[in-house]
Amino acid sequence: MKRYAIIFILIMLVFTGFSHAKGLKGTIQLDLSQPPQAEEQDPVLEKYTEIMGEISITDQAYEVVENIRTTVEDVESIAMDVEVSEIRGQRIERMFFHLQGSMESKVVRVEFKEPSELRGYILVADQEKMESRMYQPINNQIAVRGLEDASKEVLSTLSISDLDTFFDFSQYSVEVLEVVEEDGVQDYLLEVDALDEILQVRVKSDSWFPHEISVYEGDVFVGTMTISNVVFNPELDKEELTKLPEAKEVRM
Amino acid sequence: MQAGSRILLIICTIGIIALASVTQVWAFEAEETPFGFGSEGWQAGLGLSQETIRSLGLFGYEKTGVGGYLTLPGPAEEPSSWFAGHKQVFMGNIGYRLELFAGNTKRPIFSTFMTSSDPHVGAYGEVSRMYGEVGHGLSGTAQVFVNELGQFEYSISPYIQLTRQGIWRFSLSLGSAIGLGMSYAESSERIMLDIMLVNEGLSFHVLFSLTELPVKLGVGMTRDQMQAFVRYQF
Repeated sequence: MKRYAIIFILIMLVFTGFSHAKGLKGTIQLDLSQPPQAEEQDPVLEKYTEIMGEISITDQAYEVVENIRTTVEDVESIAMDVEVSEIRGQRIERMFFHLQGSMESKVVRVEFKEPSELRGYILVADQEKMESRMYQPINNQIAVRGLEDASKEVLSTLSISDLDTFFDFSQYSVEVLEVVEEDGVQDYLLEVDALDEILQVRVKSDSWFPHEISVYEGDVFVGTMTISNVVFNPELDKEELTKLPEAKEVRM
Repeated sequence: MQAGSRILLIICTIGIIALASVTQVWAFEAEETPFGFGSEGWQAGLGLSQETIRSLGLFGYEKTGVGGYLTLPGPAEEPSSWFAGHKQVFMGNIGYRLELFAGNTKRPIFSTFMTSSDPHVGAYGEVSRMYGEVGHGLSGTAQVFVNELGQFEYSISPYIQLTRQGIWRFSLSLGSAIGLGMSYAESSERIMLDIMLVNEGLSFHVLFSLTELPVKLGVGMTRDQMQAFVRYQF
């Protein structure tokens, strides 16, 4: 659950962060009567630079991370399939969902396909309205809640110690573990060491978008997030993104 | 005062105390006045209900509430009442509901109230599991009549559920009475329908919610009773 919460936070941060940044760019006014001001820096880029300054990273890894950043920076909308596998005792728990997001509409849509306990659930997070709407097949209802409340709900699943370490990037180190070349495409295996957790991220040079993230706690393999069928900048209509089955709405 | 009336008075008092204790913390969110006409003539009364919703993570929530009706068929007739407290939990595609009730009407279907039962106390439970648009579940009711005979009635109803322009539910009723049932709730719950064939007796209930007005219209029909009612929500 903690990792799902982190994924949810990251999705929200990435989409809300970039849409804020693009919003800022769109509202810059030039006042020629005043002397030129220092160039306003993109807050997301600023945060990225700050984090990159804090972490310990090799030159090769830095190059890969820069390529990922450049790819993500230019994305206006995205669609992808995400599979999360997590080992819990003797069981492997699988979650599969289709994610669509649009910077312009400031909307993220997640359709859950697996496991059967969540099949049919559809989450629409609308940053303009600052609310999330979740369609629930169990009672054919739509649960509406404020995005702030939903974020609090997610954050409540993380402990204070998690939060302390999660946002302390100074203890992170990043390096490239291996590079495999196939048909002229390099497949990089990036390792992010965050003390108690190690993330291994696979990214190919033809897309520069992570396609597999494995999580280890020490030497113990915890789970994998696999990203497939990634489409950059598909035409995503806001009406389509926010459309949910007709059902009674319940405000939480 | 007759024994039946005393028991009814006790049940009503318990119900009112339960509702009153809740109002110390909450305000009632739904108050309505039902007016009905059926085999026992005109009926009017007051309905109160309160429900709180609490989130359980991203995919779940819990509803806890109380509700009840008190209606008067006529000056010479006994009042009809129904009080219940419930807890309902949804976690992903799994849900359950537990309800404890007391009254002298049958367990209301879409809040149709029919005076055809001795005072009783009981419990209703339901477990459901969906797999997207299809699912199944099990519901059960047990009640003890508060009279000299102290009869016990129960029913267990396995069901399947489909979501197609609303929720369709097809059920079997097993236990003290055996039967078949079908219910439908339109997507926005403006139209709700319930048909049951139990021990060769057909019962039919329908509820319409008017979108423009805070009014609901309902009709209930069993083998020996029929009732039409209007509920005004204020």
